[in-house]
Amino acid sequence: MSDHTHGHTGTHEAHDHHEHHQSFWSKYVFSTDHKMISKQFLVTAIVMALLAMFMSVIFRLQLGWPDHKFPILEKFIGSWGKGGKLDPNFYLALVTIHGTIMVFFVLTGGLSGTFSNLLIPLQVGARDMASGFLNMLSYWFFFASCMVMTAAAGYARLRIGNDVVVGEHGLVHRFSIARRN
Amino acid sequence: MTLWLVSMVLFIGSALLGGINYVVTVLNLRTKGMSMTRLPLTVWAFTITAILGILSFPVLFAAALLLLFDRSFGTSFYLSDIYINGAPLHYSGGSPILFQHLFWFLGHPEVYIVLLPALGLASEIISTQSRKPIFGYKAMIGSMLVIAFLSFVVWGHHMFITGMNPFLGSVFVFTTLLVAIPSAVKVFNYLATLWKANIVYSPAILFAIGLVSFFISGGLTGIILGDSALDINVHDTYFVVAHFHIVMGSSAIFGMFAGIYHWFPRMFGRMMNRKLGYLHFWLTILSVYGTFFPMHFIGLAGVPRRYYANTAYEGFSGIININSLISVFAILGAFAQLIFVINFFYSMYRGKKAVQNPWKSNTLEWTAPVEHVHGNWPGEIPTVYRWPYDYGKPGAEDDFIPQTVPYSQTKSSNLEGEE
Repeated sequence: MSDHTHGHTGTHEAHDHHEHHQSFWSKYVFSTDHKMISKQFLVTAIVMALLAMFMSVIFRLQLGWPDHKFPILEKFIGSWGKGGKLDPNFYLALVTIHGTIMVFFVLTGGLSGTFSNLLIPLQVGARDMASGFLNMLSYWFFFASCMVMTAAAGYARLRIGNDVVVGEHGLVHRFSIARRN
Repeated sequence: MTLWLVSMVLFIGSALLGGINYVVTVLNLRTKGMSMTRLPLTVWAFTITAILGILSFPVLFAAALLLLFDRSFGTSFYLSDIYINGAPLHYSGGSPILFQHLFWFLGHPEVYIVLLPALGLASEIISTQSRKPIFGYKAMIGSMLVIAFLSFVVWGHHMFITGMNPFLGSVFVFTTLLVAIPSAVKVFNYLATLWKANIVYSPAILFAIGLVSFFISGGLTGIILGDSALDINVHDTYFVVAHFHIVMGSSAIFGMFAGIYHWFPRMFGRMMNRKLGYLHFWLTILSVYGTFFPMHFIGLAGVPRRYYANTAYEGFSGIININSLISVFAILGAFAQLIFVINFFYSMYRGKKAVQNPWKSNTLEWTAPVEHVHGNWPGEIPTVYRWPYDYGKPGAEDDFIPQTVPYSQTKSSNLEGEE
């Protein structure tokens, strides 16, 4: 991975005279520049955090006022909030996805992705990351996983607890045996 | 569930690609003079985090992939018994304990993967805004290394009542309580750095101090939960919810906010609005404590987590008002975040133009031009001559000496051995 443009020192004339014009795609989307990648991570993380925060508001409404109906829920989550009442299965999906998004997508991908990318090259005095391409790939894997997780949030059969897996077939039963022992 | 697993597999791919890149960059691409003991604590924190991720994420990768196989392709990796009385079991289902061990082997290091970068950002911000060198630079690095090591041998404290051997539980109690020592070192160092400092207030340092506050108040309940005898009483109650939301969730997100407010000018070349930042901070810290502090009490009262409603039991009728109060604070907190979002996107385009070094900081990133250029520095990469925390050094002309200033130019403030 010894990319010749990212050496320790040297004059790097190539960089000074290399301000080629970039298209929108190569500048903002398929960028290998660590500063742009860190911005991509940050903005994606903020969007995901808002989504997870919105989920927490929905289930806090349920927990805080369990006997109350919130007709406005139907506007946001449709059939999962029929008659203003949160669907119990969807409640489990919501807390799970809230936790997953916050821990992995905001505080792992978002936090490390943003600040490691921004600060490591700038604070150690490097031109860029060791491999700009892998760095770009890292963001795109992150983006893809965000999309799949958002899709999973819409898939109400999904049920996984923080430390307990509960599936559709035999697992609930086995789980209860394990707990009694 | 299948989608959850697919998403995690992709995410771990991302984390590993990123992590290996961070470690290689720090080890190989440091500029002239930037020895490991001259690295800012942020870089140390990011590096240790990346190493933690590289070592622990593959375990969850395997766990997720095997579970995906079990669920979709008819394998039986999670069956603890294949035959009972000579009859083969149906391949569906499996032992959650096997998955839990794999999950928490990542799960606990993950806590520090989340927390360490936030602590690193806080170290940098607290030192810069206090205009004082960070107290115990090497102790900070050492304690982060010890935390990183210990995080691999404590996963069992998430599983005290899963049916794990109680003797094993007591071993995990011992290793878990050991984590309190390096954590206390870090808290002490933060407080000692802040002690008697002329703090230059900004939203960033408020969030960093908020992080230290959560690290203390959440860490205290960690001592209770880490002890298996005490944990049994509050296991799977709101006490646990309160603990991890304060010590891991809120303190890490406060570290992230601190980082965003501090390095926003570096990222976007503009300043964020300070007054909106203060408003955001005070509303957020109020609603975080308002949300999670009462949860300790309803947890001690025995209210279980993961329940859709606690209306089925007469005994919990007394907590419904507390739950409403918690919800009010949670919704207030959610609205407070909208202030941040507005401030963030508005400042990105309309914020006040930033100067090159708005916080009078020592580290290298502020020697690069405000406008981003390819390769970060237009000419040569700066050379480093000193550690990054020469703030308020006695005898110096200014209250900060950037890393790029050689000792030969600061004769009046040099300590013994610095030349």
